[in-house]
Amino acid sequence: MSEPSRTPERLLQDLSALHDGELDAAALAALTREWAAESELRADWHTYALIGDVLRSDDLASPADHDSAFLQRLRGRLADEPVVFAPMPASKGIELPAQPAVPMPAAVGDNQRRWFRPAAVGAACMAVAGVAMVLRLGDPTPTGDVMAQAGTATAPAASSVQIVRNAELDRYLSAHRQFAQGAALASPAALRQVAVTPDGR
Amino acid sequence: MIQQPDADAGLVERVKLGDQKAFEMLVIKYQRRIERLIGRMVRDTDLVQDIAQETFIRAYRALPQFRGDSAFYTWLYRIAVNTAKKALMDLKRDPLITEAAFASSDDDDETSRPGKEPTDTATPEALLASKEIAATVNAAINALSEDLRQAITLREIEGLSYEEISDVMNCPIGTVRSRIFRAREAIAVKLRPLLDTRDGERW
Repeated sequence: MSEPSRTPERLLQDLSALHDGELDAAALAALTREWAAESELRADWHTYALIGDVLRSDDLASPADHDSAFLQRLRGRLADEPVVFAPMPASKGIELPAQPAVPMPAAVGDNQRRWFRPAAVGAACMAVAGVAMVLRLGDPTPTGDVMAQAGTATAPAASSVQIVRNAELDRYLSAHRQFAQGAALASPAALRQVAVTPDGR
Repeated sequence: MIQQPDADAGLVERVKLGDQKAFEMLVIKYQRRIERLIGRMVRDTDLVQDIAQETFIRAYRALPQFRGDSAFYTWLYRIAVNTAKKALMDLKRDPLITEAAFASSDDDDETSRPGKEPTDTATPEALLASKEIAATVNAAINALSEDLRQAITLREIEGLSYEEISDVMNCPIGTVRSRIFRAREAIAVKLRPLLDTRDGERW
C-alpha cells in the first residue's frame, strides 16, 4: 500500500529543502504562494513534518485529523489577528532587520511615546521648579532670589544651618547642568540648600 | 560554539512580510512538539490544546520582535513554557478557569466554538492510529538504502546542515539534497494512506 504525491516533483524537492532551511529566498516566496493555493502541497508539508517528528520520537506521531483540526481552529483565531508586518531594511529584500521590529499592536505604544516624551520633560521641569519653590519658602534666610544665589556657593553659617550633601545627587546634577536651560536653576548651589536647622526646623 | 543557522529563518521572514500562510507552515511543523511539551506540564488534554493554541497566537503577535538571536523553535519553546506556567498559576488562583481564560474577548458566545473539535488525542482510536504511524515510519526508514537513511538521519536527528552532511558523506550538496528528498518521499509514500489526505480540503 503506497501513494505517491500528485504534487510535481520539483515542488516536493523545494518543499523538502524548505523543511531543512536550505531553500533560497526567491524559491521560498514562490513555494509559499503555491502552498497557500494547493491543499495537496499543504498535506505534503504536514507529511514531511510528521516524518521528521516520528524519526525523533515515536510519541510525536499523531493522526492527521488531530493535526488538521488544530490548524483549522488556529486559523479561526488568526483570522481575527491583524496581519503582522515588520519594518525591513530599505536596501535588502528579506534580510533580518538590524533593529528590533515593532509589532502592529505596538503602534499604539508609539503614539503613546510620542506624547509621553514632551509630557515627561514638562513634568520634570515642573518637579524642579516645585523643589526650587519649596526651598525658597523653606529657607530660613531668604535674602534674595534663588536665581541670584546660584553664583554663590557660599553655605550659610555652620552654626545655624547644617548642609545636607548628597554625592550621588551632586554627580547627577553636574552631569545634567549642560542640558539645563537655566543653568542657575540646576545649580547645585541653589538646590543644595536643603537645610535643617539644629532645632529641627 | 558555532551557532547553527536557523532552518526557519526564511519562513519567519515571510511572516514578517505579512505572509500568514508561512506562519501556518511553522504551526504544522512544530505543533506536535509544542503539544508534547505542554502535555508534560499540564495533564488536562483540553487545556493542553488551549495552551498550544495560545502559544501560537502569542508567537504570531510577537514575531515582528523576534530578532533571530536564537532559533525560532527555541523562542517558541519559551513562549509555550511561559504560557503553560501562566495557565497553571491562573488555575491555582481560580480552579474554575478553563479555556475561556485563553479565548479572545470576542469569543464570549458560549454556543459558538468555531473550529473547536472534541479532543481526540486520548481516544483508543487515536492512540492506535499514532502507533500505526510510528510503526510505518520506522519500517519505511529501515527499508531505505544506507545512503538515504544516513542522509535523512543526519538531517532530522542530528540536525546537520546540508553542507555538513556533504562533508560527512563526502558528496556534493546537491546529492545531499536529493538523497534527503528521496528518503522523505520513500517514507511518505508508505505514510500517506494512513494520513488519508485525499479526502477534501483537510489542509
